[in-house]
Amino acid sequence: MGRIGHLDLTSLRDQLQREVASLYSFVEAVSHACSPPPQAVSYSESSSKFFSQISLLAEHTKKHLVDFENHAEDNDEDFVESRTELWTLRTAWRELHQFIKPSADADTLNQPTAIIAALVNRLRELRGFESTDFTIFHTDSFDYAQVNPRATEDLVAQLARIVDAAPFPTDLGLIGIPNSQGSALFLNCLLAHEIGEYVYAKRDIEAILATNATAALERHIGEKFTGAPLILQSRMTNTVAQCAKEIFCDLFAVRLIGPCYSFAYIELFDLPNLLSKDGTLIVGENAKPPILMYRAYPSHPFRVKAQADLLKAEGWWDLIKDLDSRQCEVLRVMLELNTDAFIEAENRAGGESTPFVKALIDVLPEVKNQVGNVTNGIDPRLHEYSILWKPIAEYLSNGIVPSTLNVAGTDGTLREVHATPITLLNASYRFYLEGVEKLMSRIKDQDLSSAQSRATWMRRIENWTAKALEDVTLLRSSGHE
Amino acid sequence: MEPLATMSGERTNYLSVALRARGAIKTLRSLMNARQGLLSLPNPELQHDLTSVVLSLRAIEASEPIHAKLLHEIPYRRFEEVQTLDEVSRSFKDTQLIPRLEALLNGGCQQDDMRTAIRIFSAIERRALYHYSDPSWAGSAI
Repeated sequence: MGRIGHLDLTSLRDQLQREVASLYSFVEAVSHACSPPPQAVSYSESSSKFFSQISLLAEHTKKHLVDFENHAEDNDEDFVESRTELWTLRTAWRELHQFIKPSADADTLNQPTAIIAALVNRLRELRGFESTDFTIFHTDSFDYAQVNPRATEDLVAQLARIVDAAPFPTDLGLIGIPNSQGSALFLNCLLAHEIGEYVYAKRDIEAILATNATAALERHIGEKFTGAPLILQSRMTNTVAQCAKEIFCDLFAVRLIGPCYSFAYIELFDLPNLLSKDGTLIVGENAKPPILMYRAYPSHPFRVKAQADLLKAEGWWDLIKDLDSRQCEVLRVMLELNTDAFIEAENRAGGESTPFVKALIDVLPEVKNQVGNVTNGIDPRLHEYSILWKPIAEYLSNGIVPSTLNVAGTDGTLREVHATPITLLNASYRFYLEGVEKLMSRIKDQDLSSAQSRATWMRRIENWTAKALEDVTLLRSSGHE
Repeated sequence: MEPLATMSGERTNYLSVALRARGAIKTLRSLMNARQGLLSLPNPELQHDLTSVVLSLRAIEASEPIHAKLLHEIPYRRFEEVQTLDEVSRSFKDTQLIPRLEALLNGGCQQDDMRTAIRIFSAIERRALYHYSDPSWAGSAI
């Protein structure tokens, strides 16, 4: 590329105009999917709101670029500073790109509307989140979560500040689901973790847990920590705080929706492979997956243990411990596993991560404290579950959608009951895990040895549950509950 | 501890740092273009941005062994912010940087202080964008 002479202003203005035009075109391309939004499909109210805001942001960005070529007359230092703005704007739109088209792809036919409505309504029971809503987008990877709500919100707020656009609604979040799971139900219980991320960011819990993490690292590393440069201290604190955030979101999810979150977690990460043939925990080198901490995340067994401990403390464990599934055995062995086992495993592996695991264990009480604070007053629906899980299982085993249940009262008379979404999810997930044989045995010519047949009926259990969730949501919204 | 110690921050957080810096530059530019006497930093976002930079710079200073005890008195700053400021402050040749930014925070309106603030925010913006643009982030290769 030829050098642009300082005095050749006309040429520089032209060059800048080309660069601005390139950015203009880039913003148009990125925002195209929602300006205007596709008419052939239907979107939730929150998605429509999101598209409007993105369109507005795109229009303001394009207007903001007008006359940018005048910076050709700036002095050298100011020119570099001004030109950086184009880089920043392009980068911001690059980041937004990952949400816009995937949000347009997540129309109401391609998102699990029943469970999302159930989860959002549940969140709205928490103080301070009464008007929260979420835009759903599809992700190519199978990682649930991984969107940093605080950073994303900050991104759009700062972009709006730069281009003089109206700020985004503060009660609108983003949730990503794997693009193959738009019609799944039970696995999407994992979305409760993402809602936890949103709550974590909104309540600014990071600063509290990071302070605890710093103190814990001081205890376990001593002068090697306190005497380290700030940047290293910050990295180490960040590692423990990041792990603590994951645990917070897991425990928040368990508080929000109960054991169905843990069942989905165990299913997604295939954690029954932690168990030997007799249902005991595989220990030592043969443990798959191992209980060692990942580079920046706690191990899955560590996370499941934290969930299992909470389920026990909440009273859920007594209601699910007899569940006939290796999913439940995973919870049992984690409950029985001493926390020291995680430290000993790190020591055996060389001890590099031992102080981080110790620090994380030290921070756990504060994590639980914060989860308790944000979910204060929520009814876990334990009592309701204890009464209704068997009738729901009976309905499902007969192929009946459990929207309206006829349940015998203490006096023997039948009463019409509508379970809450939380009870429906937990009872139906239980039946999905242990009841498919019962269901198939009642239907003619079903082959229990066929994975295909089992999968078909397991999908039906999901569909019936989704239908029941839609029905009870409709009843609630129309004032019948 | 080396494998954990060498890990990077979160990519989106670097973009947040860059965007905040650009927002601050925008506000500072508009204040500089305003008439003298109107430069009393009425903008709460700019105050937040300036405070954030001053706190991070102080934290970097306080992490020197001689000031180690002070570190406890400084509020938590996110890793990506600390890292970017740490890198920028090393190459920023202005020994009066913190006093100049504090003067603005205290309601001062000297053009030189404003220019210094723009220079530091511009350096922060570029450094944060550099980190965001690192192709070694998973899935970010172009």
